[in-house]
Amino acid sequence: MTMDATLAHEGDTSFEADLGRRRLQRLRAHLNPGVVFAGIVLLVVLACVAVPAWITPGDPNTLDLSARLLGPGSPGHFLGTDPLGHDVGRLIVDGTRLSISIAIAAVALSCAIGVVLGLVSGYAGGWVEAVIMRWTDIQLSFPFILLAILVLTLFGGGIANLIIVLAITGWMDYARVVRSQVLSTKERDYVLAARAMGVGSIGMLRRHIFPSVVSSIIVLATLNTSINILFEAALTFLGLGISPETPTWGGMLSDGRVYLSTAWWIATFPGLAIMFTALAINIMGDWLRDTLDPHLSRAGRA
Amino acid sequence: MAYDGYTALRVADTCDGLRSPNVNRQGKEYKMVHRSWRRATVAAAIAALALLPTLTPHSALASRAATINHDPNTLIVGSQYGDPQDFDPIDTFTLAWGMIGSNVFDALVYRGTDMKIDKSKGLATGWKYINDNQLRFTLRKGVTFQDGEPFNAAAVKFTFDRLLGPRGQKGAQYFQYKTIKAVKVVDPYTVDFITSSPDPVLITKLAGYGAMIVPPAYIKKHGDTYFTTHPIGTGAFMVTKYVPKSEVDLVAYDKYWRGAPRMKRLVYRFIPEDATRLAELQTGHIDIMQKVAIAQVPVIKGASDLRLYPVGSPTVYGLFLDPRQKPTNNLLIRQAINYAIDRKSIIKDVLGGYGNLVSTWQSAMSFGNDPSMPPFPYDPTKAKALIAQAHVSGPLHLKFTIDGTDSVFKQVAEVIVAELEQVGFTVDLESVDPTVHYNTNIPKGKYGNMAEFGWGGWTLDFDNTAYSLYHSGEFYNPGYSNPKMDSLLEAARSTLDQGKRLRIYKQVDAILRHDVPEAVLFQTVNLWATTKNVHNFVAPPDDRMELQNTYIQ
Amino acid sequence: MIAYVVRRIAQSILVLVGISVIVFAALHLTTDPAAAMLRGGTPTKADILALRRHLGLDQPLPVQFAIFIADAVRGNFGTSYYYNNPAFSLVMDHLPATLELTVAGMAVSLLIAFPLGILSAVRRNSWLDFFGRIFALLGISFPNFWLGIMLILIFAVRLNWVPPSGYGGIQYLILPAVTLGMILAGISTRLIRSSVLDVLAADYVRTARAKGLPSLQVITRHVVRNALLPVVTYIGLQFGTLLGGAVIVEQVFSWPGVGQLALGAVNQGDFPLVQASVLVLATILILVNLLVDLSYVFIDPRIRY
Repeated sequence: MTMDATLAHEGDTSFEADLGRRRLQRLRAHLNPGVVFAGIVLLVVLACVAVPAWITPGDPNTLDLSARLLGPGSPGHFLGTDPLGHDVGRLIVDGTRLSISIAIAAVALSCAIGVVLGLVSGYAGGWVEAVIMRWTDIQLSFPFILLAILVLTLFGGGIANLIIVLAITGWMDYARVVRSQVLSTKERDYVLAARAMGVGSIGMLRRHIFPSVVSSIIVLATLNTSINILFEAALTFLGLGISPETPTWGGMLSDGRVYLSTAWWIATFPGLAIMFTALAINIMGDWLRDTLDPHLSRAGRA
Repeated sequence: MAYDGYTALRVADTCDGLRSPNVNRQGKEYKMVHRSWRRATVAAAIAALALLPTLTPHSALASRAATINHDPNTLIVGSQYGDPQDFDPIDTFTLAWGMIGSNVFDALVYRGTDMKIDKSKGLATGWKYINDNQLRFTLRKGVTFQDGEPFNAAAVKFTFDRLLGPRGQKGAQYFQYKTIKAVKVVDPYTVDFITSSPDPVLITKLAGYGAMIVPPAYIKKHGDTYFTTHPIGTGAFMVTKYVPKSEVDLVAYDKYWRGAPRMKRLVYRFIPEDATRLAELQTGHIDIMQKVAIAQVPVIKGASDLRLYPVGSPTVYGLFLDPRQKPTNNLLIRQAINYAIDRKSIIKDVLGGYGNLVSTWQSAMSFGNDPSMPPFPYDPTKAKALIAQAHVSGPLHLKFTIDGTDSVFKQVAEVIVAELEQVGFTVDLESVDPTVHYNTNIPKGKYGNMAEFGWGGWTLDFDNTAYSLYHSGEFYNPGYSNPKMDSLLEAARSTLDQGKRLRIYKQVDAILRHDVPEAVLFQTVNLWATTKNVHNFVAPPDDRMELQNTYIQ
Repeated sequence: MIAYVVRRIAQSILVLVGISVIVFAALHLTTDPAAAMLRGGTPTKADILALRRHLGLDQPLPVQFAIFIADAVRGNFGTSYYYNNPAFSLVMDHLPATLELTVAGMAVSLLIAFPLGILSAVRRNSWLDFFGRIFALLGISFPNFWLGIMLILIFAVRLNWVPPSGYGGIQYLILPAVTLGMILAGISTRLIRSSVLDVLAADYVRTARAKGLPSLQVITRHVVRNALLPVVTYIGLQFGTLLGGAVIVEQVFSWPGVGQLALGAVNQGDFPLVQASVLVLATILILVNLLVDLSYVFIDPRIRY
């Protein structure tokens, strides 16, 4: 599925060129305001992760007890200040790196584990599948919160452990969904045909089963990222968060919820940050899925 | 065929594939773009609507607390502490128990909301020391338990035999009363407490949970397990229903010896979430709210139908400084830390003024407190001088551990970190789970250099706190050891001469000010709130509510 | 099939044993419940050791574990250190509340997600699709405790339609169920939509349409059943998320469920109660997963066990 459009020249009326042009048109057709918005948001987020000092220059340490609980629009504090005088905007920018990296790292880890285990268990069957599925059961049967409490208490807090906890609780989604796709796809005609033709296992996995599973994985991964940001907020809500020196969006939301009726900006702006980022990630995920899988664009009104 | 946003699109063969499709349909194209923007605007409007509630001031909503939104014969308390879990007074130390249990049970000794002993309100009308190890109590006549049994010396003996015997040894309160060797019945309304060694704190302890008098016949008939969920005492209210994690329902005991309570029914509801509890108060679903967060104070104060009741509690917060870890092993460094912290600013700015300065790890209510001793002064210049004087080799790096669930102390800790960094330290702030913090890290000394510690000496006698925190080898003291301190503390708890004990504690204070194994911060002020319909409510400093005179109207 | 079920049950028992080992180890290696129980007084080390002895914690770990397992198979999970009542009955007393909330939350989420997801896919790129997708996206962008508090502020405090929190009648169930269900409605809508879209693209659907079947029949007869497989998988997963995630909703709405019980138990170091809660919840989840897996057979006849 390459974008052959770049190879099309004007006047070139060969079949490939036409196909390329159509693909490019489809691509541009998909560039609606939603995707553009999502792209902008993600670029801003990326900037906050990579070069926060450009976005909010100055001394990162802004504890200022004389500027406590100022509302948005106060001089020097566009989004207001928190109970210790920290500028809310700066907190959000500084927290971006932590919030996003935790979420993405956890997704990458859980995706890797889950996809591999799902493919293997769905395709291999037999006792391999049984072991993997029972291990999935163990994990699924373990209420996430309790698992998080036990792990974070046993191994201590910290960013690495938080990522591991999020990854551990997330991989089963991938494994089970991938496995169910594999189980169905395994019996589909083209796969049976390929097997009859003598295609080996790895080739089978790679060429026939994997592609049908990719779009589900993408959807799950985008969901997963935004969910991880929220899970981190939940863990902070329960007091299992990480070091308070570097607040995450979830942490700000959790700490600020008791101020919702008096100093609403402390929780609301991080909440909006979470919301817009999650929205953007999911819009992007949809867009990626739509453009990557030509089958889907043919589906229309029933 | 449909593409996103465009209908009936055909890729025209005649037109240049890279331009927008179908030039003839300008109008449609315009409409399509327009439609997308319309959608985007609608989405923005929806998002704005979602945020609307956050923008309106809460005080506008307070007017509903003026009406009682429940049965007017019931007084409802919203508790953040949660379940008492087990109504048997010998099993627990929790404040959750005390909130409710003090309405169900009485003890020989009564300590009122001013934290002073009041002989007119205990089950004992008087007491005197026969000798250093024998304390005789005269009991009140005409008191009955809620099941009709009489209160007398036999009941007292039963209570303490039970507490000190095999049943009590499985519970949490037992070890507090170990100095009691036996309880003897002299006559139906006189008992003797025989101690194995003089215990100056005994009388105060007999106001505590473990000393609540329980009904012998009832327990013999129904058994201990039944008693944990169906308690009977001599108190003003009787438990009728207990749903763990949800509520406790009580009904007034009309034959209560201090007079029948004013309210017929009492309900405690367990509402762990701060925002929810306030919502319940504002909508009149509860009458009394326990634990108002500092952030919520403006709402209470701004509402004409809500009242705020601040009360100083026995709990004091401070920092343990580990004398075994670098650099806090250096005395000058520990002193520097103390000078660097601006306690007044913490109380004013972080606690909103709801905190009191203290000079030792006790409040003004505690016996052993020396009002003439000033709090540790704030002097960052002196702190820097001390650091220079200390000639510490290596980095001035401090590891500071706090309880991650305490959002207020997190802010206190951040301010402390900033103040310490101003005089030259670098600080690494870490938060842990409170169970691990208090039960593992601190006792084992695994907290680094500094640890948050909150302690409420419930006996309101410095002995309880000082012995646990400063005597060598005690559970909460992994690192500090001073033989002079040890002997002073042992002396203080083995004499009945209160004057002598005060003098001993003055010496203890002096050693502490010199050795600084700690940085005492502040006494907490608990915040309660009620609707304006609640009358005769007195906020209890130790959370042991007494509601027989409180009523709503 | 029967052999499969039997095998699954045997495996489930192994799963439960595995869980109890992990929980047992985690608890005993990290917490000292005796110290926690005595905190508030002035415990000496001797006092704490004495209490440990009374609680049976001084014996070597394998011995304790053996005793625990032996009792557990007879339904005896020990006595809660703090409630002083059998841990198992405490959990069972709170289970109805949690199940009530979970089922209500799931009902809310499916009632919203199914129609929205299917219509969204079928009427692709229409207003409905657009709203559906925005709703789904918003639903998974809100932390549930924030949504819960917002709902309380709007519907209880501002509008006074329902009480803010509590347990007892249906008026207390509405807000927590909506909070719990809303987040999952978002996820479910997206998954149902994408799954239905996948199916709509399939050849047999085109065939059905080409045959002249009306849209509704196409949907009910062909689309839904085939789209169900990943959805059913996800429902099974949802139950686990709901059950665990209900802890937060229970806290915001003062809902006396097992989640709150378990959370308190872990914080207090109440070993018997932690073990009882975890194992009871785990058993329920295992049963649900088993049912989900068995239902595959009915949904997709190509799948064989």
